[in-house]
Amino acid sequence: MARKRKKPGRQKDGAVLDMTSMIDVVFLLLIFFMCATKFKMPEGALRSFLPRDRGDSQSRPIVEENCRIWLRIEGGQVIAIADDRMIDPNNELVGDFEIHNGVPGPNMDLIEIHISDRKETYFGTSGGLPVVIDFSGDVPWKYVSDVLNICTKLEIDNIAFAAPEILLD
Amino acid sequence: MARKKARKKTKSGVEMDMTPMIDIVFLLIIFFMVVTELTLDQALVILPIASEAKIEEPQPGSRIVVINVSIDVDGETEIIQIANGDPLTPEGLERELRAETQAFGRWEPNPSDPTKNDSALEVTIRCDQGARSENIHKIFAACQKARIYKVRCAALNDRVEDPYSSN
Repeated sequence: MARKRKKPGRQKDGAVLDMTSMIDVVFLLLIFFMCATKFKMPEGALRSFLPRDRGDSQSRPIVEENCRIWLRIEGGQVIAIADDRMIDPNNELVGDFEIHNGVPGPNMDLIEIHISDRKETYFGTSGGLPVVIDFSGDVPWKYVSDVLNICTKLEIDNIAFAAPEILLD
Repeated sequence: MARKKARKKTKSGVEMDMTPMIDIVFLLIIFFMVVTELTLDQALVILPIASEAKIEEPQPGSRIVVINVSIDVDGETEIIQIANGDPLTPEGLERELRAETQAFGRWEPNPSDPTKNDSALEVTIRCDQGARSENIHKIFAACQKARIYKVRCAALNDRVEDPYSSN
């Protein structure tokens, strides 16, 4: 279509159109949009369906055997406890998030080993091992997401998020 | 400098046809303008990275509500909003979700109590990896009150570059 145009810069009366300034502006616009554009990255998701069979209550104590992962902040550092076992923190900053914040987090490999061991030795009646992720509100979401990712990796379906306790009168 | 380059006639008298180049440049501008407009629709959220995060195509007839949890420019305030809407309180979020479930109008019987129905609406939480996890408690509570159980937490897969690595 563009080829059908004849002598784009010259009109019938012989006058020449100076396209230089237009090209300058067009290139400026092109460079601006190239710099300003940030492409959307493909996003996945971790399934964390909420329980449907527990009525209207927001939280209820879990009495069956389960694996409980605690995440807390102490002294500016995220502390993880898997059941009654303290998880060692990383000796150095792992990953760009920790480098950015300057605070090391718990060793996620140890948490994965712990949950995997518990899963292998679980002989409960209610399907797979229930894992409860119990995190305080000030823990960065990244660490909760990491534990959720480990559970998904180990094909654990029965995952619960511990809700804040509701005090009774 | 640009004027020197734009001269169509060289010393040898050969004319340069700049039409195809201008066509391509205009096409590129239109492309980048459209793409930029699309990306502005999303709140700025740095998602956590999860190797098991799966990209799931939405089922026909389903509806997904996206809840963004982002950190404000001051680095302290955390904002909960549906898509790119106004910041919401937990009560406001619950109200909005109830309205969404009513508007969607698809319900599934509850397995433990067939007299009650759960909404078939799906929720995807896009929470910034540095945001406090208490926001998730609030969102879960709002979803449960609105009888939404299909909740997913968005994450980037390992194959995607970490956003912090460019800093």
